[in-house]
Amino acid sequence: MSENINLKEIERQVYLFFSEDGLADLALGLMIFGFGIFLMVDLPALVGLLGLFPFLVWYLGKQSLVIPRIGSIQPNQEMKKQFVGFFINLCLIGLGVFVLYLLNRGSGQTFLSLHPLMIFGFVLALAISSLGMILKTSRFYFYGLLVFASMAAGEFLSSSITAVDPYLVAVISAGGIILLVGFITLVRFLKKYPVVSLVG
Amino acid sequence: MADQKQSNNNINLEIDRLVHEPVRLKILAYLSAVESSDFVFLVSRLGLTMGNLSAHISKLQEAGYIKVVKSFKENRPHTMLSLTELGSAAFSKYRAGMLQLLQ
Repeated sequence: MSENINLKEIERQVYLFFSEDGLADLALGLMIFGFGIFLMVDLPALVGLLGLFPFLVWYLGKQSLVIPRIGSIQPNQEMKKQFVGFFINLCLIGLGVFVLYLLNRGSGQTFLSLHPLMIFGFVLALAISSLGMILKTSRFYFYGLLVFASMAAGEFLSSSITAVDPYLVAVISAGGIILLVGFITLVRFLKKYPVVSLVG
Repeated sequence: MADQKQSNNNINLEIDRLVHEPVRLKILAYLSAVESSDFVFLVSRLGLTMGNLSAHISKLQEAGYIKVVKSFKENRPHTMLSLTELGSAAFSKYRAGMLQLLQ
């Protein structure tokens, strides 16, 4: 019997636990899609729900669909450090950009005050790509690029093209594409891994 | 020449046969990459039957290389596995030994 043992591949397989099922994609897609929808229907107060609802989808999906199929793991210290580091960096970058934006608001024609959405898109793209790097999942780089491109394109599109703000159309489209990829990934995952019925 | 042969024989003696078996080596490799994992995770990743995996886990547990914690989750048995310090040391030593042997 031939056995191919590749430690790097085993490590990648472990990290796949967090992304192979497509639930992270669905959560991300819901956040971006919801962000666009809530702003389009002029309910910015509901944007606060964007953290909660996708998290619930991710958590309940893991519990009811993923764990019965591929089991569960507890991340080791290295993984935990990476996740915590990611969230701290994300918060710091977000805060930094927000402070810069506030400082530049009254100071005339700066790049930041002229293109706040593009900067926001860039920060978001950076965060999504970093998540892809941590999870060792390359499709998140595509999502990062997609989000940045949609926000940049939305900002430069003329609002005469459509009655709705083109920026929101671009964001909703990006969220929809991510949702679709997530859904396809989830269906493939469910087909690949049947529920394991075991004692033990 | 004779010294080198002698040295290679010494390295061979350092290889832990319990770890050297491919399936057990994979189990240790998976467990070395996490804090702990449950039985289902290893079944799904290794593609083994539950009986086969149980047999390998028993051997590793007897050697003190892995810790097995059995509990109940939603009225169903749930088994968590983790590498012990001894198991971690054995796995590291095996890796170092193999690298030395191949260099």
